[in-house]
Amino acid sequence: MYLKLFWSFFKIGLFGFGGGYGMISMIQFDVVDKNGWMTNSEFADILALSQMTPGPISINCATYIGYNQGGVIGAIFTTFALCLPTVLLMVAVITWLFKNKENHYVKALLASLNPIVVGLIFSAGVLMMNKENFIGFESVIICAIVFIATFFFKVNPIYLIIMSGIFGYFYY
Amino acid sequence: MITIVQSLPGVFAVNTALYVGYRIAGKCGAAVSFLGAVLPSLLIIGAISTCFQEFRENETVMKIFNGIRPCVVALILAPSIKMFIKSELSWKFLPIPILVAAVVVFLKISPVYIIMAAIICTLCWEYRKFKDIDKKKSDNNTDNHDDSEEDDEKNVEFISTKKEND
Repeated sequence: MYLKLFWSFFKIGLFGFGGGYGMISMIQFDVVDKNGWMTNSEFADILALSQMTPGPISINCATYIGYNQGGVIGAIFTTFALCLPTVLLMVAVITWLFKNKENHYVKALLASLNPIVVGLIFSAGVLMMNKENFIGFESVIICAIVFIATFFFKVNPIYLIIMSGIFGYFYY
Repeated sequence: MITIVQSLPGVFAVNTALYVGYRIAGKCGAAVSFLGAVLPSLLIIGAISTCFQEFRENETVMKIFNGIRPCVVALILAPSIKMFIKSELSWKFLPIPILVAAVVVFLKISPVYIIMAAIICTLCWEYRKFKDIDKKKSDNNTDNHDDSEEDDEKNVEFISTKKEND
């Protein structure tokens, strides 16, 4: 159990290009689709919590899922599993990277991964558009308004989460 | 430099913390700043998760989260599109993210494998191309060379995504 948690998040940490958002689709795939550790709506709740609480989203997510599955030890396992590849890579790569900033392999990799990461993040969003999360046309409206607010007006996500929460409380 | 550090796989905050810590105080500095970046999350989420499972059953909380869930979906979709615009890729490359998303959503292929395939394809492509260039060694015009490189990268992306689709 702990090993499975550790392995899942180690993999995510190792291939999680694009920061927290890029990892969401990976976490979602491993946690919801592959291992069935939680449902899609539970995952959405956790994402909301991770966004509201201080700290990186992916670490918050990992910690929560770890706690949910294996208590305090599980939480520590997942958090460090997520960070371990980064730490190892930084130790191994950092001095080399300093000298090879202009290395064509590095440049090519970063350039080609960019659109792929965009696709992965988008897929995470699309996968969450299901009946558990969208319980009626009101949900679609909330989604559209929030999208416009954050995309065009750059409203702070935390305010948006709080506002939608208040709306949910009074409406449902 | 920070941009390279941040584009390494892993958590932004952890990457940056490690890098800054290392620059300022060596290995110990990196270790300390790493703990500084991780511990608050661990503690706060630890505290929340102990009681969240019970709260979730609560009717008021359920109502609130009914409102929040679609909001979260929008908060994920928006940055993906923003990222595409910020990367300054031309609209020609829009099929790549769409293809990747389709592969994940419909074929249920793990994102980890997609990234792996993309890495391998890019490296192979670069290796092949630069072997040819080393052989020729005639072209010293670096500007032209850079342009062709960029075009090749874009081809690689298409190849890698297409492979995933098969």
